[in-house]
Amino acid sequence: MSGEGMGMALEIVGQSVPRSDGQEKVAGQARYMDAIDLPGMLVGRVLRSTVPHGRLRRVDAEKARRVPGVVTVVTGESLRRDGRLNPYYGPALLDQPVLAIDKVLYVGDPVAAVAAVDEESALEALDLIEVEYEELPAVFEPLDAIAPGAPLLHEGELKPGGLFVDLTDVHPVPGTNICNHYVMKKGDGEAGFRHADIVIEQTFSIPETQHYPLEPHSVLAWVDPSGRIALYANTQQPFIVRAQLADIFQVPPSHIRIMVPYLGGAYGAKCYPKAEPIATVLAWFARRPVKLTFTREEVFLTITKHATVVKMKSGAMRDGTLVARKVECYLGTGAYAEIGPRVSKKMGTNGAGPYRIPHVQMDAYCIIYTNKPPAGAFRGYGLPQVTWAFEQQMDTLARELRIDPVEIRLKNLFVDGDTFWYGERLNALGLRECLLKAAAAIRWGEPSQALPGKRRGKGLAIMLKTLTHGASIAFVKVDDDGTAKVLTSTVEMGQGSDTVLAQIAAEELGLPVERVSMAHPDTDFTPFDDKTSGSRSTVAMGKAVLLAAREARERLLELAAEQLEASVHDLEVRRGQVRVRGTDRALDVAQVVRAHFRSKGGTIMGRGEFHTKLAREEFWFAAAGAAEVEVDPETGEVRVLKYVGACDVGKAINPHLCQQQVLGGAVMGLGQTFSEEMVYDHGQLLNPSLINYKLPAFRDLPAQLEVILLETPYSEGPFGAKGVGESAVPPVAAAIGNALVDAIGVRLYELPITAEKVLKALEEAGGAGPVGAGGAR
Amino acid sequence: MRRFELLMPTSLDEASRLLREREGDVKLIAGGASLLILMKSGVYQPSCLVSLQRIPGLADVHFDPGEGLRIGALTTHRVIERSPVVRERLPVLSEMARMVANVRIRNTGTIGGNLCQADSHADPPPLLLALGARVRAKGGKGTRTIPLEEFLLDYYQTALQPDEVVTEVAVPPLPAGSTAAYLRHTVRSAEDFPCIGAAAVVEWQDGICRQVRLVLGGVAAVPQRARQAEALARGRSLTEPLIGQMAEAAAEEVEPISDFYGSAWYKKRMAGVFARRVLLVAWAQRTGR
Amino acid sequence: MTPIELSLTVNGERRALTVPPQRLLLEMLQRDLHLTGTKEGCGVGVCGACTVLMDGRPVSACLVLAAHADGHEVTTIEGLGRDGQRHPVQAAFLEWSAFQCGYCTPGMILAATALLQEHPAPSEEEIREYMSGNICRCTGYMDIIRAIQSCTGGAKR
Ligand SMILES: Cc1cc2nc3c(=O)[nH]c(=O)nc-3n(C[C@H](O)[C@H](O)[C@H](O)COP(=O)(O)OP(=O)(O)OC[C@H]3O[C@@H](n4cnc5c(N)ncnc54)[C@H](O)[C@@H]3O)c2cc1C
Ligand code: FES
Ligand code: FES
Repeated sequence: MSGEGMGMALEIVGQSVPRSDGQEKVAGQARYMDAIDLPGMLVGRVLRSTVPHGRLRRVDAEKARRVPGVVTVVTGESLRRDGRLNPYYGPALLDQPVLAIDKVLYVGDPVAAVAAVDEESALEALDLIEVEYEELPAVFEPLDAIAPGAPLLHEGELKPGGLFVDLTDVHPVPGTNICNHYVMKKGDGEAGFRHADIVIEQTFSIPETQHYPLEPHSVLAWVDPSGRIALYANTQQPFIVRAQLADIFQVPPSHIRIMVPYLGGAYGAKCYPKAEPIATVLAWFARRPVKLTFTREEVFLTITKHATVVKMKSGAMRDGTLVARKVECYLGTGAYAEIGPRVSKKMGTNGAGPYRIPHVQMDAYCIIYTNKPPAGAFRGYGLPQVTWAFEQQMDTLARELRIDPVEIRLKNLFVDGDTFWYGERLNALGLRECLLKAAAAIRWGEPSQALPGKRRGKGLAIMLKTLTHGASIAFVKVDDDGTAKVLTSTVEMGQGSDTVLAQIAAEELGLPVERVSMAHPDTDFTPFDDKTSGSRSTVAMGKAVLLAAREARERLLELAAEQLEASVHDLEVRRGQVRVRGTDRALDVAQVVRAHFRSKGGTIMGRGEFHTKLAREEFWFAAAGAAEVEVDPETGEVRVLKYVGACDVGKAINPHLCQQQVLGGAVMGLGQTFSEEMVYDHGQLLNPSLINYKLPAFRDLPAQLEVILLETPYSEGPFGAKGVGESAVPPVAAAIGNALVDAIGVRLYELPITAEKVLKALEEAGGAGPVGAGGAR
Repeated sequence: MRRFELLMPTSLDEASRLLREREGDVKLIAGGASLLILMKSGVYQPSCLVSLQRIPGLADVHFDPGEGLRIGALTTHRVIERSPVVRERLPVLSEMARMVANVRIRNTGTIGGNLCQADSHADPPPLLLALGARVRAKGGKGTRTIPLEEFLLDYYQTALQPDEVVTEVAVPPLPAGSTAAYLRHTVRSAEDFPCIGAAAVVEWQDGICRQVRLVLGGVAAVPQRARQAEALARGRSLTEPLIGQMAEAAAEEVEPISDFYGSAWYKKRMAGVFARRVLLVAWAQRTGR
Repeated sequence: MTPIELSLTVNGERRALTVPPQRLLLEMLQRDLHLTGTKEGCGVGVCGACTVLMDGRPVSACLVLAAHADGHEVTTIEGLGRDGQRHPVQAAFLEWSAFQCGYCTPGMILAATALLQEHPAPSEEEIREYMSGNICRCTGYMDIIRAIQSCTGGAKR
């Protein structure tokens, strides 16, 4: 009956309709947190630890409290003394205090917070808070943090966060800095290696990086006279933040209301509580609205992508068939677990690569506390790190065995019908097609022609990611003027969900897309959604919207059937008209609603929900990347001449937006590959701004950047769609790493790939270019 | 940002007097592009800023046959980039100005501010040094002219007295038949300060190289003149092998310091590479190759 | 601290106001004039989200003292269109969906406007160079290039 079900020609889905937020955004009128104020609002600011690990001997805020304009100063001690609040939170483990209590665990750990009438007074107050630390030995690198005798960050027992069923198996290892150890085994690893013709072992490493959404975290919180707490916040997860705040304030979740405006980018950085606990605590003590917007430096100190060391060992037969793989990932999760355990799980699930391997031993997925800012969700959830490892190892094997890198992948990669690690049947992968298309686009097999003095090479990489667990619910209401409003808690953070979800609803309802609009999340009124992340909005929320629209449509048709005196089965809705098929008997949707209510008002509702079954990987999305690079052997500079990102999107609901996701992901991947790296000295971040943390700019783009979208329909997704938000990122670094080897014969194991590292590696291999014309080595 | 007082004098004397009165707790502000960043991050917290923006006559660019190009301290990079006088007299200066920062910063950042900031990775210093530029400053004790080589002392340190204001930069005319080039090497992003900036000014006479000034920026606290490399070329005709030797000598004589842009090892290598490349450009200009 | 009295033209309107000395142009636009279309993405001159035109030239409003805008003419995204009509660059960005989150967009549009004033028909190279000081973390830039080219009759959808 529905457009989707009947396989009717699609009118809206599959079209690059203009973005629904476009007019506001090009006019500078879109409302983000920076445009949201309340009368009497105070400004919040945070004082942060200056030592990487220490006991708090004294936090004296007396002078600060006396600064004119200062309304509230809150410290960890005031939270504890108050007694009404539970100061610890965390999605996986309750290990993070709103403000440091007894100990600080990293440079940047929040120690005290101030609310004042203006920023200047707040800053003056911060300068007057006296803090005495007793410094403790600190540890920064994951491997050091698990060495015997390493200083312990969390000494007591840690309570589970209790929020997510997939995290009930998170267990810190007592007496260590290991906050979770994830194990997965298949077959018999050692036997596999004994059997192999060739065994290769390599270690790869990836530094901490930043998501760097242009908009920082920002919250406006207030407590109304009844005691209810309300917030505007730029979070990707209003319901999860609400649940965490409810635990902090010891109130039922419905005592808290969170509203989310447009987000100026997120990429995982705005998942889970960030500025919300401190802002809300300030408002709660001040009894006035408080706006807390993190400074850029604070954003750097709030959330990072996990620094990871990956040790990988593979065994293969002479013909390239993989027989065994052993992977150890050491993720440094920083001072607090945050969502690290789930990142390690995802990395574990996907970490052996998208290959058929009889013996796999992923026995040590450790996630390790270090005295650094917390690491959490980042576009790709562990895949960017581990793809750098497994795809370079695949190329190493190919080179050692003298097999073409495409061939060796084709020989081993998962295809439909294979079994995934937990026993699920893989389907609708499109992985092979991604690889072949990307290879063709880079003219794989044709040698690169380098200019004199330069060297060129090509490389590629693939990846497969699973959907993240969670539930999504949508309501669709059709009003008496024939327009529809879709109520969801999906956050529009740039990905285009407002547009795509409206397209899905419009297609299913038979309404022109301009007649469908999206509500923004408001936990009081929009239904539950787990999160806007993990590439799940189009598929999970899209499916919920589709089902909700279907229900509303069915109701409309029932009503119209009465009004038109026809059978429901003979009706169709298109372009806002309900029509008896093959006749000119038709009613506008508006008329149908009005006639039913016999008034100028009325609403028809539909409801839909989607949730993943537990622990099961429901669907997979595949991607490939291919690069051609040019290396200057004198300077070590690597220029990307061409990059191709190929992603299987199931069904491109809005092809232009899908393309942009792939382009944006590829460029973000280029940043991770070449320049992005947080640099520390004894736990002190040295580059907390764009002056020394470099994002890719126009001039850093490859000369050519190409996108290939593949559509292998996923039966459960709306109109066959899968996710595309993350898939372009992970292959980039490995594709370039592999191209580098093709160009100059040296492999780098450590990201980012800097000119200096390339030159050094070349030099060690004896292949660096001359300095003077005569060659000064 | 933290509170401060802002004073807007309308003459150099007044500015200098204000600096004297508030000594230690005051900063001059020109465009503010460098200063405001340091104040936002709390590196500087002066209670008072003295703005140069209302002082007339500090943003002129003109050519004086004796002194060469006289560029007012408040002249922005963008004006230098686009100025017809600069393009005519010293096109290399305009080309270099175009490489500084991004178009927005070039529109507010001034040449005076750039030199007074004395950032070791800035673009103008190595080229201006190779061109023999002099800095003019006015203070309580009158006006003095300081060769750029003596003006730049160390990281973020200049030879200015606390009450002195830089009024202009004078760049002497190039001797007839000279060529000049500037190259920058960025490593993290094209939108970055250079890891290395290399400037060469070559004075030719009948195809022979009379004099070379070769300066490398970014390697150490202040731009380094590669004097041994320069000496190799004096009175000889340039050839590729000679340029190679000069590059080696330059790499040999600089003593780089490791920082965000590269290790000492890498910078030493790049000093050689870019010394050679910039000399090749200056040479090619002469021969029209 | 003595407040500063300013008079300047913002989006064609004369404005007189008194601000504290430490006020930045960006803060003045956002807080005092409620023009929140200008964004802050880095505060250090790199990202260009705060791009406004001062006397027609792009500047980083995050690194300009409000006092230094005294007597100047400032154009923000809000003042770009005329009489409720979209400026051609705005229309091109819309047409090409040359944004995602939109946080870089006002700055991008103003920078592109300044570019087109200077070079009415820039090559792709020139676009990449001039625009390079404006960071977009979302789109991968290509649609922004196409949108700008389309203003010169270059790219066609
Ligand atoms: C994002 C960004 C990128 C940049 N990239 C580059 C680059 O690639 N290459 C490069 O060379 N530079 C670069 N810069 C630096 C830029 O060129 C300088 O910031 C600018 O030139 C400084 O000029 P200003 O007028 O803004 O100085 P201000 O910030 O106003 O002042 C800087 C310092 O100089 C002092 N001062 C200023 N004028 C005078 C004077 N007349 N007399 C005495 N003291 C004075 C001030 O007290 C202050 O200490 C970059 C800056 C930014 C923000
Ligand atoms: S906010 Fe001003 S340039 Fe980034
Ligand atoms: S659209 Fe998000 S930063 Fe450009």
